[in-house]
Amino acid sequence: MTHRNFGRHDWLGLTPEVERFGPLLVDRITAALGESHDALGEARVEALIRTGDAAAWLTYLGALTALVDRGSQSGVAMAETEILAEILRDQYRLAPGVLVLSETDMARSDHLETLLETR
Amino acid sequence: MSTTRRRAKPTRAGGASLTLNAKAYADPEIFERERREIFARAWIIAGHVAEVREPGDFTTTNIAGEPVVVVRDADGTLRAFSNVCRHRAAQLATGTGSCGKVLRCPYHGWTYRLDGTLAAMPEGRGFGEDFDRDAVRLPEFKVDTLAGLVFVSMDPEIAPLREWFGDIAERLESLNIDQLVPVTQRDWKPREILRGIPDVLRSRSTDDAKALIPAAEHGRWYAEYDHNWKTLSDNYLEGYHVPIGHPSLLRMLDYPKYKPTLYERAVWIDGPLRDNPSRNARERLYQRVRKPMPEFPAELRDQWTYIHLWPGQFIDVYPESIDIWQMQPRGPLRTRTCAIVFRSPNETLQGRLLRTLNQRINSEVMDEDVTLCDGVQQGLGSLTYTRGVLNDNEAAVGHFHGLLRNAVPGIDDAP
Repeated sequence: MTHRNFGRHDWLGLTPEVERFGPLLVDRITAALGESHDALGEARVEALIRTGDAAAWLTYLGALTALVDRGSQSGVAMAETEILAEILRDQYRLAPGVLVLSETDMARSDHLETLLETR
Repeated sequence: MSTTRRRAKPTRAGGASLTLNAKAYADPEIFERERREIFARAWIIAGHVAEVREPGDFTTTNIAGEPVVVVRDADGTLRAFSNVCRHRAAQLATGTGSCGKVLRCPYHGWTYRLDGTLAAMPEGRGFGEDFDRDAVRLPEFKVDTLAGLVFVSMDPEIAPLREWFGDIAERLESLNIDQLVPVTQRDWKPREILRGIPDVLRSRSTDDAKALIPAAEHGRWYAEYDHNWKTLSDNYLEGYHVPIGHPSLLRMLDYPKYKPTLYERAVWIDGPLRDNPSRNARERLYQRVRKPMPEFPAELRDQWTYIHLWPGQFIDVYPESIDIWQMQPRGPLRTRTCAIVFRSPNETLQGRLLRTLNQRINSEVMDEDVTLCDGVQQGLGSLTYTRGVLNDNEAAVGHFHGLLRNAVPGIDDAP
């Protein structure tokens, strides 16, 4: 029996929607929260795509999930937070097709599913 | 064991059974009806139970043009789905293996859970807010196992698998296919086999021997023929042509004892082997070293057994291996065959040698059959031939044609 070996570059197939919508959403949510967007914005995404790997991408998704939590708890930029949560939920739904999720990642996935179900 | 022995019903009172109308072997309209009314309403072999033992394990097949994937889901339930992505119709899975927790389309990345529902698709927001992703799921088919084999049916109303195959189900169980393992390319090692054994196997160079081993994909051995699937099936079902078409096989098979037993949707053909040595060195070596696999049923050890399961699946039961091959019709005059060869998991060098000898002997028979079927397929297109007549030794062909007439009413009415 052969077991699935994910291609080393397959995770890059996850990135387009985050690259397209993520930076703007991050800008607006961090602005509403009074935070800097530098660590999560456009330059970070672009650098990850050029030089990152699957583990770094998952770390980035984790940081975005934490931003969604801060946004939803503070009640600011709710529309942007919800859109980012939907994009992240899809990231975690798509991810098992291209990489192995850790328990921490799966907990983040479950958390986003619950968050969106109870909105 | 009770068996249903039936004589093929003559289509003309007082006369011999007649074959199908020749037009049924080339007509595109009849071919389309066969896809929908025969193959889509039958139980079709998809693979071996060992291929789908763990969650995420999958195997694939093709039912007359319908790609199918069978997967063991997270709860351990075996499920069968259309292997066609709902987005742009790409095939989701290929061959056999493990897909992990999801089935991901290799074209645009649409990702399905193992219950067939759509989990997500890349750039999902690009499909607009009105797109109901929750309504997207892979069409699900029936799936069950019998005799170590996984069967799929596209017909939601079909009878349960064992009931559908009737009395032959028990005989299939006796073959112990569940205890065997599929042969892969690695299991054919002609250099190793040829080393140190008699010249009879060295009659061709090692390179020639390698060329005799067909290429395998995922443990499946494929071949394509310019024949209607029924032409190939008819040929398999009767021994009447053996003395003429395969004279050398008479040295091995005890032809007068060659006997088909007819079941409701199957035929079991006993082909006892002769006790006395053949004059051909290769055949004689096979006879001399013949030893059944430990898993092999004792009552079949002195014969080759051929089984037909409706509509187009065949099991060759040899003491050293069991081959399953299926008709995968591609068009009225195009058929792909897909074979899986099974061996003992504890196969000895002697077992490997026997399998190689058998492969040599039967590949010649197969070549002869292909030549015969080439001629028959051309003859069926003749303006001067409509249908033929069947000998008693062709009762299984008559039985098969009876099933075809029942499954596709009007198949025989072509002018």
